[in-house]
Amino acid sequence: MIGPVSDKERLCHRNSHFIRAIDGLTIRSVSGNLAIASVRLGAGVNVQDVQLLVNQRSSSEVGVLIVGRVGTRWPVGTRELLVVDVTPNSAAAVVERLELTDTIVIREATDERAAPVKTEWVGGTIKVSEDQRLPVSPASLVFGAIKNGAEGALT
Amino acid sequence: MTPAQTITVLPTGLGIVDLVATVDQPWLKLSTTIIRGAGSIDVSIINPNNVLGASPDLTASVVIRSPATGHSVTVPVRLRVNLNAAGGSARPIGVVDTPRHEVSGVTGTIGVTGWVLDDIAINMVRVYRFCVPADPAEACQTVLGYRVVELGKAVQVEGARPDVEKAFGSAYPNAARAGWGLAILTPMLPDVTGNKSHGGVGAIDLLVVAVDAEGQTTVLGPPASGGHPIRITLANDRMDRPFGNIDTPAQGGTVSGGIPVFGWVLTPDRGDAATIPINGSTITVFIDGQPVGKAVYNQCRGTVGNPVPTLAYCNDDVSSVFGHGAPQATFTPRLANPGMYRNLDAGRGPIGSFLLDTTTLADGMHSIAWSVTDSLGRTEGIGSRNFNVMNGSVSTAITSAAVAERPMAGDVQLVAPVRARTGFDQGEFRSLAPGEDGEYRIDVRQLDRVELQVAGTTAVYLDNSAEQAPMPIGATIDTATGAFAWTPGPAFIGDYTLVFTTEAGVVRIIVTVTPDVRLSMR
Repeated sequence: MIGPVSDKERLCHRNSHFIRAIDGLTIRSVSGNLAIASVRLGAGVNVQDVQLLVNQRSSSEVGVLIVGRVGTRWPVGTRELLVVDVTPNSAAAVVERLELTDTIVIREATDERAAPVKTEWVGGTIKVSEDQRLPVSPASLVFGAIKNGAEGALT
Repeated sequence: MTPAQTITVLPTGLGIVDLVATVDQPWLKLSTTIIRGAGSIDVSIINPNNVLGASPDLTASVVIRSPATGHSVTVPVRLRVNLNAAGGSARPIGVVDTPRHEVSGVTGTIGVTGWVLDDIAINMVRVYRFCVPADPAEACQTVLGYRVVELGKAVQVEGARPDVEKAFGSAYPNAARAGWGLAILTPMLPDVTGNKSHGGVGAIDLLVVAVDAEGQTTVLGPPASGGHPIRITLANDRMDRPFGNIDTPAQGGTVSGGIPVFGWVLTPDRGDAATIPINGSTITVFIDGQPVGKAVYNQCRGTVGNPVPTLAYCNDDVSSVFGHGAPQATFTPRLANPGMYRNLDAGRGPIGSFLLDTTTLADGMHSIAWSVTDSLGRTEGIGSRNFNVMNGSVSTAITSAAVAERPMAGDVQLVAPVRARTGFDQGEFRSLAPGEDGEYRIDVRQLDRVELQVAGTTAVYLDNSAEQAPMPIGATIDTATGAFAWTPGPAFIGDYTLVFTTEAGVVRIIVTVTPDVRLSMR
């Protein structure tokens, strides 16, 4: 889950009177060990209010823009604005740094009075555990034997 | 009855845990019930207190479980009992796929290849040739009424015939090892036309006999033939490229530690002064399709000394066959070189060697071959064969191959850049395009070599419908680059679907191993 952790109600806007870019960021798997599988709006967003624009630069990097109408407001404590699914590129265990940067748009995050609000995206790490399986070879066995009737010895 | 069969378990992601094996029927016996980490269990059939009774077809299970993690896997076991001992068990069934019956113009090394199954167990597959007038009487033996000379015992190779395994795997024991093969150097066969013991010219009849655990025999022949000898017509008098053989390791032989790989190579001089550079710079040793070094060439294993003195002529086994006007006994003194092989001139020898450290290889079966290029730029693969390494450990190489993740059925087949090259000359790669059906396909001659490169490859497995299907024997993948190399040794013939797993999906490439019957170009 990715989203702002607010301590007060926020309103974010850009220059247009008609469309407000609430925020934009890039998400990147630093060493390319993770692929960005999907990006979608989270449960904390009313899909009628905002629009999600996604630009996948590569399998391991995606740009995301959340666009909202003028006056869009999120209640204090809103979580899960955006859900990003990632998949490991191999079955091997790996610890991968997921970097969140803010280079797509010049963010203008402001409060109700249009005063700038300090906003910071924080990257993190994802630990991918190796797939746990117990494979055997062969998958089945067939044997044959000779026996002289029901009582005979097995040969 | 069928001898014990081995179940290998290679856990992934569980760490070093104890695995407990159990059976659900009293007629199954395990060699061990506890494995730490990875390992093998031998499964055999017993009949305490006649628990089998009169049942002709029984089923059971071997369950392997990790008490620490809760993971478990079940291996179903089927036992088919022939209750009519007086009637005996069935004879082996199988075919010879290569060489084709009545093929002509054959030169160099060929693979005698096929598959075989038995209701109990296969003991061996032996390949013979019919005796010819040039053979001394003591060299011949009678087998099934035929006067023959034995050429060798074929090697059964696990995973070589996924088509047979798929068709018969639920009914016959050891169907995964149905594929068999033996490489034969045809210049060492008789020159029937010239009535010589060697030279490889004229019609030769091959007899392939499968023997089961009860000693019952079946003559294997072309598919749907009912079994009969295979006739091939040799033309090595017109051969125009290097040839030779690897002597050690033997086909199917088991080795450990550091071993010397010995072999020999020659090339015909048909007025063009062709020779093989004596410094060995054009003799490359390949293990599992990957080059591992150059051979030390220009040696002699005769009685004149090694290296051969400047004015002396090597008189070892190879020189005695190819360095006289007609083949002579080994160590027969040579005073000149009337033959067409410049590497048997004075001061030269045909033997090459290479020190192989088998501890760098995983335990199990591998392939070895040499590539030889002569002074005219003609390259040929030499001595391709499978051999076993047994150093008593499971290396990371085999572990990673064996546990390669099998993609799910719904994984996306990618259209991705695929590059390929075949042959031992390591020439230019070419781009491989998918066919109209979307499948990538490439042909490679049996005993030859193929390299495939798919960007971003993390693992390769053989799609044979099994739960786990490691790469075929004789194949390797460079884990750093994802480059795949394979030398399909004797026993491999037909289609093999290789699945390359990449970051974005899978790429399926069908490699068709074609019969290795090289026809003379002259």
